[in-house]
Amino acid sequence: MPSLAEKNLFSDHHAQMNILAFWFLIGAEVVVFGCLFGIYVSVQELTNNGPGAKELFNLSEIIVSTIVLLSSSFTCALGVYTLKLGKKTMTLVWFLLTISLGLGFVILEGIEFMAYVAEGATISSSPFLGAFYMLLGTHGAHVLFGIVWIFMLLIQLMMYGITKETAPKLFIASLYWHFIDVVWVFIFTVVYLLGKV
Amino acid sequence: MNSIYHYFRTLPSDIILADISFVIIIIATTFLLTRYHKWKWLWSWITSTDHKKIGIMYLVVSFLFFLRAGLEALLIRMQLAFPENEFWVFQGERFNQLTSTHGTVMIFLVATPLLIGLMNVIVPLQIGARDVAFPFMNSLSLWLFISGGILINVSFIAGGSPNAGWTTYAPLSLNEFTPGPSNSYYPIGLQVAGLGTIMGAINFIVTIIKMRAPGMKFMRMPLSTWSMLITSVLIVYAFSALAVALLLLTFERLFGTIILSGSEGNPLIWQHLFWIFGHPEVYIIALPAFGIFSDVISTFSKKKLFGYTSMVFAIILIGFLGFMVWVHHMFTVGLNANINVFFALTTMLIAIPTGIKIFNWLFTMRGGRIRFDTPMLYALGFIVTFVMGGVTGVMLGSVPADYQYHDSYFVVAHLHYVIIGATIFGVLSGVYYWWPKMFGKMLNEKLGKWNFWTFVIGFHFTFFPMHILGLMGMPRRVFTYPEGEGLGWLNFVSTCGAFLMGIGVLFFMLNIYLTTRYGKFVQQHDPWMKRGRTLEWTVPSPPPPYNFARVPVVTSGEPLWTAYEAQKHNIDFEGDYDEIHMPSSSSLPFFMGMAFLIASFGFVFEIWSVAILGMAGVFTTMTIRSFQNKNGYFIPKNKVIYNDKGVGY
Amino acid sequence: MKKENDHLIKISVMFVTMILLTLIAFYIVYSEWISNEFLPYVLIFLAMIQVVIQLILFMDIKEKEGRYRITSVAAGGFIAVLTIFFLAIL
Repeated sequence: MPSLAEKNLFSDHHAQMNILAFWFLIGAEVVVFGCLFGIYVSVQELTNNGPGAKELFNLSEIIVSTIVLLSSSFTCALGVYTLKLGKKTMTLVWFLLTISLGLGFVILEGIEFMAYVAEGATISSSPFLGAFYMLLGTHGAHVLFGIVWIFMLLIQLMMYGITKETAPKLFIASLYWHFIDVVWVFIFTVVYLLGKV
Repeated sequence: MNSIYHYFRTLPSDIILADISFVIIIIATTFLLTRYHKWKWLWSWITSTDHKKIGIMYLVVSFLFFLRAGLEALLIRMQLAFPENEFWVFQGERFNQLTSTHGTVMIFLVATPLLIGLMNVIVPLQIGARDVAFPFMNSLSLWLFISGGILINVSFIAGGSPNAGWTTYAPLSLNEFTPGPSNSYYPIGLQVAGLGTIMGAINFIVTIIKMRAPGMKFMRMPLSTWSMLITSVLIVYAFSALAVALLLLTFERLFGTIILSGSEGNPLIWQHLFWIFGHPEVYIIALPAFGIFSDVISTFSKKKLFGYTSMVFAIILIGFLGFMVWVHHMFTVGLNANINVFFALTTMLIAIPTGIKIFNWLFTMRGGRIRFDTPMLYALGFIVTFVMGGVTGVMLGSVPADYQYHDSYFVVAHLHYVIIGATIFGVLSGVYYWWPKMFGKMLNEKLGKWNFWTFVIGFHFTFFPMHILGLMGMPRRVFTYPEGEGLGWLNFVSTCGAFLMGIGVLFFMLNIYLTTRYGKFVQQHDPWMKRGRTLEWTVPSPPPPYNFARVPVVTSGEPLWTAYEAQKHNIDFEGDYDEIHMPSSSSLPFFMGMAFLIASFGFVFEIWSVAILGMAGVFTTMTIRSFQNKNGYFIPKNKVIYNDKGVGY
Repeated sequence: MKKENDHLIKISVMFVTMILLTLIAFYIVYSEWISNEFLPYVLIFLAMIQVVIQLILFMDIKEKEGRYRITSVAAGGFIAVLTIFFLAIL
């Protein structure tokens, strides 16, 4: 596998256009999550005599899933780093680690949701819970989509190696992954930490 | 079997008629396609990734939707023609469905895609590009729009149309008050169409930023391209807010959240989210029309556009302010006075950049050698109409006065003055202007003038009385009004005007038919009497699939005009002829659109197996696309030379 | 090769910083260390630092053609803030 310098990988005109387009998609996603946060903030007091944020959340569990997702962002950055160096195997390993951590995060979130539902805190119990599940659910769906997406790109990486087609795709997927991490940072802060105050 | 029989027995006559015409149209289309062996031809269009073909398909499909929603408008006017009238079945519930789908279809499936379609054809030509940045995604946008459109349109004969107004305010739109599938069509259908629109917008942005010909600096771009760039930016952010609003409504209706409910939640959340999208949407459908008019007025006045730079900044300013005014749709919901004042001020501020544009258009015409062809007539009609709509807009922006106007026919008059005045006039102007570029034939001028005068006179007869009706206190969205209030004759005038507009549209269709059937092909690149100024007039009409055989040399904001002034026939092109890389056509966008359609039906009727099946189809097509390595094909060099010079093949 | 190593070190340091910031935020809430009045601002500020780190270091927002990338995200952020503000005061 010849080592491709960074310039050759992403400076291709088409790759540049793809990356630019993806940044505008991120801009749109910022608004999507902004609106979901808006809904959440607006109804977080409306608990309909059910459990509120203070009663429901258990911060010590959340801190675990937060660190899991942050670590996946780190491994993803390492994956891009090795991708730019043209090291196929290491790229594969780092990205596999990334999606495993992502999967761990989704499982933790699933367990958390199931615990809430078992307590009777379902999506239709109160506006607060509805907005909570919508926001977290949308984020979780994004993580899940990212896992499947990166997995398929890894298959392509195995099939074709690091090429002008596969490398920009993986780079864009990494942008996506970092973005959902950014969203989580806000969810952790606004929903969980401020919910406890 | 019995239940099906019973179902047909209980259908109202309008639905039976719709069913029958639906079946007849399907049979007739199938028959004609088979009779003339056109299935392959149809398939080549469906799978095409050529931006010109996609643009034309956008125009055709949204024109069909326009006819449907226009028919609804005529039915609405029939019902309202006389006081205490009972026309056919369109009272109460049915009338609500009419107004709701008329508004929804006209805004989302007519105004927006008509402009996107026209710009799809024109923008790459104007910036000297061979195609858009992402031809596959372009096709996907089209098919998502068509799926969403089919869904909204089919609702009429399958389960009932949305009936909570085009704004679908909660809590009226919730299960509690409107159970059944009717109002589920709205969020799900628009979600699919909106997804396509966002993709289309991103496509435009990247195309305009990255695909301009060398020398085509930002400040040399024609106004149509500029306005489409700003519009696309607005779409990216506004439609994502709409996506969340629609997702919220979907959750409310299908999954039992109570965020918007009147008793536990807060219905105002819907209004905020809807109008955060809704007001930029007004500019999304107005700005491209402004761009078209700028090009048309400059061409037909044979003068450079007056104040180009201020025009560009006015567009940007309108785009920015467009996001800052949405609460003026909600003055009467009882937010506090300071908020209302703030939004009243921002609303009135928009009049400034709009005024700049109006004056620039007037100054462009001043001292020009004006030709009154149909595109120019529509541009002039637009200026008059839009100024009137703008004035009522400022009136509505004043909070205390708005308490009087709110939800009255005054608002109906205002919104039709701005939307028809800008968007529909703009599209008609643009279609007449670029028709020879798209199809190689000029539309008939005589019929064009008939089209213009009947449509515009009909328009003012329809909507001007509505101002007065509104001031007299007639509320919107009512299916009748009492006798003896003096509302009768104005409504009757309005109905007559609506039919005159309908005749105008018939003239337009007749014009298209006669031109296509009997029109002669124009041979020139620039059929408008050598008045063309921008790059689209430097290529053959219609352009070859790759648009530009060689790279155009852009030395000014009006390259063709600069060439004319230097006594040249056309601009210079640089580089040698070479084989040209073309994107391969693909059937995947079509199948992805159909998968979305199936999934949407599953969601609307809450049949989860169908929904899952459809979503599986969506993800399958996405996976196939991800693994696809279609690298397109090449048009050989000698063919390019032959096409361009007519020799050497 | 040195440049690449620098980048690696940068990523690692920033990752540790992010984890630390998260833990600090967690600790502040847990120990009720700052009065409730200022707490939201402090927490949002800590989150913003993390976001900036991610955008600049991990997502290359300032690379070639950074102005489009920054504009895109900033415009989205502007509209998001506007929305959140008006929904929050409902």
